[in-house]
Amino acid sequence: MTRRSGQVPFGEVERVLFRTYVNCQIAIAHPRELYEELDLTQEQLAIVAGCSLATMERWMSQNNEPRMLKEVYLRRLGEFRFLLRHYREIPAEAWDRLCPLPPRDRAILFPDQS
Amino acid sequence: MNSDASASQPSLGDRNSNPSAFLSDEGVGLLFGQNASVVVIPPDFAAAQLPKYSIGSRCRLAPQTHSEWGTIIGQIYAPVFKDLGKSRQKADWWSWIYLVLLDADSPSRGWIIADWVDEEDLELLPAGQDLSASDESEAL
Repeated sequence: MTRRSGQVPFGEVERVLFRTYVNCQIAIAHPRELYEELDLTQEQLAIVAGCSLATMERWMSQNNEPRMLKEVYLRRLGEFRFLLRHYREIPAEAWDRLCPLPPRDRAILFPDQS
Repeated sequence: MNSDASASQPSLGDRNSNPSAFLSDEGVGLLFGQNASVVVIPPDFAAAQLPKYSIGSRCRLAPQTHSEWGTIIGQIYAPVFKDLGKSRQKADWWSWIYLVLLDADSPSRGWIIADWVDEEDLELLPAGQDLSASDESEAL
């Protein structure tokens, strides 16, 4: 397959990142893990997961898992838990590229730097 | 003891011939979960039941603390796994899942437009509660 103009080669570094990403274990096993760790509502869980409140309530109260996209929801919840636990370790440059923080939010997250 | 976690992974050179060689045994499983690798079409699939709700049906998600409501815009026939053990070789059964476009006043519409719902978790909206749909169509 010929490479299109401007494409970076899919080299050894990219292959390692690809393998790491697709096998990443950041997902949690059940939304209850996050619910027990943090005082948030089921509505907030649903917003993070990207499902409806009804789907999240069914999942939480009846252990009735969503048949569609469950792994996507669990990965999103896992990403949020990672953020909660490790946001202090994320360099300012990464914040600026990924989700730039308004000064007020930056002061709350990193009070010792303001 | 080999502590290199990547030792069991296929060679990076395999990527062009088989990209999925990098995946774990369960696969990514984004659509049907981690049992995706054992989903097979059953022999009697053609005789499977028809969907209970048609496209355009006005439905309510089975009442929870907060109900949701909207219009069916998609149907898929999907496997059901009651035991999520890795030894499963086939689905326990198949049933319908519906994509429901949430009404503007449904609680979750603030962050999603539509959601997937099992047939058993849906019920038809009583005709008297169907006002928001006609209001929306008039507004268009």
